[in-house]
Amino acid sequence: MSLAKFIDMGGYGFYIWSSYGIAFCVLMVMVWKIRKNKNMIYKQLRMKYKRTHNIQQDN
Amino acid sequence: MMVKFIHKLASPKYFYHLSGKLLPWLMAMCLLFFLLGLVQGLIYAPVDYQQGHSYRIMFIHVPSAWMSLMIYIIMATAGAIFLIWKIKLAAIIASSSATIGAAFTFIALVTGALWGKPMWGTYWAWDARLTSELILLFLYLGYIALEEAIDDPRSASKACAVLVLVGVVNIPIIHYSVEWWYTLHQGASVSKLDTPSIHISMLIPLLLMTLACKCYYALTILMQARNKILWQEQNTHWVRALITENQSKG
Repeated sequence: MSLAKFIDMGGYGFYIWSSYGIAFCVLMVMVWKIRKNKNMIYKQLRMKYKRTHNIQQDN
Repeated sequence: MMVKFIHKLASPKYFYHLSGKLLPWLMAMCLLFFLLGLVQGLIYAPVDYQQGHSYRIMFIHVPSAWMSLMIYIIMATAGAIFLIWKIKLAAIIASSSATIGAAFTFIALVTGALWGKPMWGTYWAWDARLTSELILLFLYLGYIALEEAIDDPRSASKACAVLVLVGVVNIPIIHYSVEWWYTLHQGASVSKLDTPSIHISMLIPLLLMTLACKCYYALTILMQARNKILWQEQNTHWVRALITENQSKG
């Protein structure tokens, strides 16, 4: 089976590849957003703990 | 013994540590199943005698549609558990599922449209199956919007649990729509358990892709739930210790 034939998929290439492409993008964006959210939480909490830590030391 | 385990699991701290150990395994399984499923489905599965190659969209379309229903049922169950027993973790499970469920519903609709065009001659029709699946997407989006609109997490969880339970009525409608109404959408080919009307060479990639999607859901729901736990438990000692310990790692 040649590569061109595989990509063409008997004339349905556009529909098949865009289906898989869109699905792949959606699933990837999802994971990326969750990871970004995690980093943001870590950053915010780190700042918060630092602040409260300093307050405790001041007293 | 079992009750003790469930109690322990329901504690956010224990859940956080246990899920952390599961993540790499789920990730590996997810990638493996997707790889096997895609190779089998796109390369090795034979051409369909009626639909040609276009039927290969099935390997992503059908698992996504199944996931959209399964995730909704899980959300509804978690919502009910939260309303009855006030278990915090159940609310976290429900709300972590919403975006993933919406993603799978979206994929099912888009891939369905891309399959519909060459087979039915149209991207969209106001057919019973398609319309009820679109309503499911709106239910997911409504859930997400409602959760974001309410500031107090407890009242948000409660309102969302009620919404998701009301929406359950849509699930049997989606499932039986192809039998109740005369629709464009074809009937079930796999769930007729005695004699599935699908050849084994097409069934195997379909099942592999379904497993992959399930692993993906398990992976993302845990990741999402862990984020929510960290945020909700930010005033506890263990979260504080965890975050400050990881300081050096960046």
